[in-house]
Amino acid sequence: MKPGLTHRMDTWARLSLPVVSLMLLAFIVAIPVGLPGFPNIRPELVLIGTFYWAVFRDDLVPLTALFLIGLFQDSLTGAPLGLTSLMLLVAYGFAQSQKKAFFGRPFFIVWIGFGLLLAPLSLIGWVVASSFQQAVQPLSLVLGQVALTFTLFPIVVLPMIAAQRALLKEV
Amino acid sequence: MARREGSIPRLTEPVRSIWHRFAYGILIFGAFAVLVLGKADIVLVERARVAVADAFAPILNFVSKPAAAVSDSLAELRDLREAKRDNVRLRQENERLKQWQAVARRLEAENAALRAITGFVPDPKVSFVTGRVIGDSSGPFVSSVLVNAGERDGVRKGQAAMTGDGLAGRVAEVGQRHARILLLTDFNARVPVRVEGSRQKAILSGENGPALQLLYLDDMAAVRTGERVVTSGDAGLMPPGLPVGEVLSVSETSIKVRPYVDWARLEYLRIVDFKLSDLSRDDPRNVAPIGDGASASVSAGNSTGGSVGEAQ
Repeated sequence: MKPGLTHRMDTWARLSLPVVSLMLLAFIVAIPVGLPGFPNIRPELVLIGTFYWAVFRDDLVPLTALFLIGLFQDSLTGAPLGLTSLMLLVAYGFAQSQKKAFFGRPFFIVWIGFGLLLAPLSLIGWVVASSFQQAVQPLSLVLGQVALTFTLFPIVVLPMIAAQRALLKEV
Repeated sequence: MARREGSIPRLTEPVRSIWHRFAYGILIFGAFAVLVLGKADIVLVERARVAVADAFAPILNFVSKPAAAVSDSLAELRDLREAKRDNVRLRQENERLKQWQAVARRLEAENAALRAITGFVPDPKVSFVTGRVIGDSSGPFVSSVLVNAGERDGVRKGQAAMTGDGLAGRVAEVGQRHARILLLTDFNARVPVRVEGSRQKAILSGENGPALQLLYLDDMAAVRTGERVVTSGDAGLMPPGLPVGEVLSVSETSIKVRPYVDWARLEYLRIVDFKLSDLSRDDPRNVAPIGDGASASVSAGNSTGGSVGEAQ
């Protein structure tokens, strides 16, 4: 028996949750908040989301979508175009290959795992950005960004866990 | 039936998995390729980027309003706490400014008289377009914001963007509905400036941190801490005399400048249209305004008749 149209649309909408959530995060990054005192530190929210979905539902995050979301964020933020795509793809590759290590483990293990990925990945980003802009970029800002992104991990991930439990349990 | 249904995925499975492996490599390579293309200033990449930002500008415009409201109310709470102290400080400042106003009036009259005598060629008239900041994209590698004014509002590439406090940056990219302002703090930002005390010209350069640096000065020793830095107007796109910041520290190797603009509170930006091309011949008052928009039309009471041709 073929499932009805509404049912298929419902399933499709549920399955697009990871990609939609990543798009949303890319958008949130660009909204002006005005963090007093730290004008040049921006959390890499999309990286958090990518890590989470790559570990728990990697089947729902197409690589092409990651690539495009990276380009989308760079277009909005004015960062070197392609840099975010590169970082997201590398993060995805790492998280997906190590997902067994995180499955069924307590939350803080996943959090620490993210931290272990984030620090070297940000360094790679720093090296790439410095070489493409032909000038050494300030490392202190990158470290600040790593700290902020690491701190915000639960705030981004907990709603995703809730959404996954509510919407993706059967599909 | 069941066998036929299962055989197609079984056939495509290896192809898919190969594609999956290749896709990863291809996309990583693609990201690098885009980085290289973007670096090479390919017009197509620039256009695509502007188009994407332009398409999403209305949404950002909508979303940034409540975000601004929240950060506004937080700032208001902080202001409330400091209201008493601010009051005392502002009263003192007001007294001081009244004296300055008297001095400024006298100088203005004197200036007008001298201009009338010498037949000074005035700078072209300056007009503004004000845009709200709808996207803040400052990260470790770039400092820029998006405003909701674009080409249809008359914004052009290279124009100066300022707040009430001083120069904030210049227009780096223009779409129909949005413009990207490269802030002074960006690593790639270079603004021709003048140190007001010694009248020395220099280039102001950002370093992605809060402070700015003065480059290519003739005589570094002549610069003192606390001196005002204003635009020199050398490139022709920015009017001369826009306030930029003040000298924060002078060392043997570098001079740091603290900008007047409060980066955490960038809400509205005025894009300055400096019409160097259409020098109006009989406009009596063409000095670039310094300070707030309200004072943009500082008393038009002078009467330098158009004796432009006799500038020397």
